Amino acid sequence: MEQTLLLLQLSDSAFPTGGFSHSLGLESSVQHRQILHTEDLKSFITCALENAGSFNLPFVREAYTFCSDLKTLQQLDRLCNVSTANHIANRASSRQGRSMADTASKVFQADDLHQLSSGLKHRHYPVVFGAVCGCLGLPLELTRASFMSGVARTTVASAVRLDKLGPVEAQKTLAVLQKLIPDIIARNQSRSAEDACITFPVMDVLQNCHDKLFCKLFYS
Amino acid sequence: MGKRAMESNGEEKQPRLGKGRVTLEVSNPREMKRETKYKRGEVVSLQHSYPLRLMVPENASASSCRWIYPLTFGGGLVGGDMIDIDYNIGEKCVALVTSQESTKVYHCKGHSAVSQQNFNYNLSDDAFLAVLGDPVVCFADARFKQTQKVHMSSRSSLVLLDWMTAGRMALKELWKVDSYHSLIEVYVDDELVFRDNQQLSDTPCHTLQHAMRGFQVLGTCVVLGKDVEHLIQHLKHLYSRPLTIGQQLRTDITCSFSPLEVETKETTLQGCYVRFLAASTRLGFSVVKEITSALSDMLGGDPFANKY
Repeated sequence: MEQTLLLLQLSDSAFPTGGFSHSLGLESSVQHRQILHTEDLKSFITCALENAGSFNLPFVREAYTFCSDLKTLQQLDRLCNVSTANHIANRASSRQGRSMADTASKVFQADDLHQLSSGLKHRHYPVVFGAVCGCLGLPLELTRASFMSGVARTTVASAVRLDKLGPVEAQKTLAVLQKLIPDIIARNQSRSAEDACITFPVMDVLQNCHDKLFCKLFYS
Repeated sequence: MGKRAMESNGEEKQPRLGKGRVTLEVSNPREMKRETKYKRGEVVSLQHSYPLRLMVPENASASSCRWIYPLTFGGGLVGGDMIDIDYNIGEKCVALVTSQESTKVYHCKGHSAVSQQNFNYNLSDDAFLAVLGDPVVCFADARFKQTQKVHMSSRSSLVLLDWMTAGRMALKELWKVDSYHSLIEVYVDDELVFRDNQQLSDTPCHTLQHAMRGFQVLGTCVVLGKDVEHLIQHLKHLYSRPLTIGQQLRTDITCSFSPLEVETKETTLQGCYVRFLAASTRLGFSVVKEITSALSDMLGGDPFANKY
């Protein structure tokens, strides 16, 4: 029960990690006229989930496993940084990671959490996320599911704000796409951070163009 | 070189391992005048084994740049083939690694082995290397894995382009590759500073063809070093300018630009990471042309002249 409550707190949108200011490339894709129908949107979110699975989950898992080993976390943080040359994705990741590390260390008062906000240079989100969940003793399976559910929720919520979906339709879409998550986690569960990769590059390239947009709602 | 239709040639089952190494050096680089940036490098070592051949023509370029052509007999790779090449670019040398035609990755029926290419590029102080080849074309059901590792000194310069097309468009074969894996790693003074890892394939949730959204070309270009400032500015100007009011984004070409900054013990290296998507090979090639146009003086010619 305690763990479930913790998880609900961490994944609640009131927990200030700043996820609401990111669209994971959806805004740029919309302005590139790549999202015309609901099917395009589903394709986009599926790609976002697949890329999160093949690129982010390995960092989440290894950071979770080594959550109190600062040296390994620093290596992971650095590897994540050099592997994210897309500067939009990079800054989105380190911004969210930074907020999460700071908030978690203030809220939960554990030594291992303090070292996350002081000992990591870039504080990339998947590294911080995995480490925070590890330090708080959440099960790995829930940690992964929660990370992936955050990706699905963020993209769907962005779609609502970009007026591509109504709020009820959005929840319907989320309910359908969420079903893909267990399979994506299973396929990537033993992938190492050294092998973290992008599976579907189009949305990543479109996200990389975010700063070119003339007017924008989101930070990434 | 005779081109054979490997795909239909069922007997071609023996996997081939082609190894190669080429080393360019300038004699007495330290005695060169300070203002002479680059000198014509001499081939001091050249090795290759079937099915690979490395050619370094004497008069390919109008500058001191040496052009290196890795050629594979049969014009491509079949399942199980492995090509392994070390390029050693010595002090004050400038080199271009290019190709005569696209690299085809064939599918062999009943042959599920991966076709592999491993390229290592070693750049000494004040060396300049451009890797500007034709695209990789993966046929339906091909399995391809390519690893490119660059070990460069903080005083050298690199331009590395890698691009692929969707497949045999004339047969409407778009993104039907079984798996395409491309890893690019750049180390400066032995420290990993850049990593681009892409593993494209269908997944149970989505097909690659659908996810590529009508684009037929995917390209990546990494630029880094002390002597590529003009190219970075050129690319930045082309691909990172914010749109003006009312300006529409193109849907047939998308180019992204990310700045790279690498801090070494002595200095900070500038660079950039460019990726492009294009709806046809011709459009993809127009981007490649834009990238290479700023290099023609350095390279002493255009490796893509009269192509596409």
